[in-house]
Amino acid sequence: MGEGGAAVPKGRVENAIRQLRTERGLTQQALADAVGATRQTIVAVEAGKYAPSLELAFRISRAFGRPFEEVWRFRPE
Amino acid sequence: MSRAEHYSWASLLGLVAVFWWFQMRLLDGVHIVDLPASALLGVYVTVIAATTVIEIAIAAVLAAMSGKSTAKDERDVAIDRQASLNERIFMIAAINILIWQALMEGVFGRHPYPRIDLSHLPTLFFSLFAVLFGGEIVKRILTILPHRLQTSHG
Repeated sequence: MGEGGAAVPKGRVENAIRQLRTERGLTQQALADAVGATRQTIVAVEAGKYAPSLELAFRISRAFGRPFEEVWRFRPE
Repeated sequence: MSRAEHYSWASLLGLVAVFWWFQMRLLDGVHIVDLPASALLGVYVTVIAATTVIEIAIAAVLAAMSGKSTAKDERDVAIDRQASLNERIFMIAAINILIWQALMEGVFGRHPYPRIDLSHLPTLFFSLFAVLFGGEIVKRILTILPHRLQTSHG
């Protein structure tokens, strides 16, 4: 961190996984199988209790066939 | 429950069971029984064999139960890594407590801390094994907790 640098605003990463999954009639287990994760990880990511790696985030976006920024968004606080 | 969480629960129960047997052999109330070295060796071999058999049995049962779903993913690995770090911190703290009280014993003879006579073989044996068991039990608990908290509703 450089001296005099502006403070970085806090924020949180949100996702549209539940909405996209429901639209497609996908179960959490089906999505988990498609991206190589456990169902519990999908539950935790949907609930915002686990921040996935960049790789898993990309895998989830690809599983929905949507651009990354449509599935994931940063909301400054 | 994921396979990693099932494993942690089963392993925790196994560890607690073996530790219960271990402390029944070594403790009489709060005092350590004066067992000969040969008996301690028997306890050591039994504990190592029991924990090894239990871990293999748990792994085999869980492997047979799991279907085609992913057995362990990045979240399981991250939780396991954090739990291992906390286990190490616990063990460093516990070993330092043993060192500290041994030094206090050597320097002052009398001290206000609970006395652990590490020159007594059964006491040394029990103390070191208790640290090992404690570390493993802490790790299992700190693996189960995040699994529960991250997948709980609300």
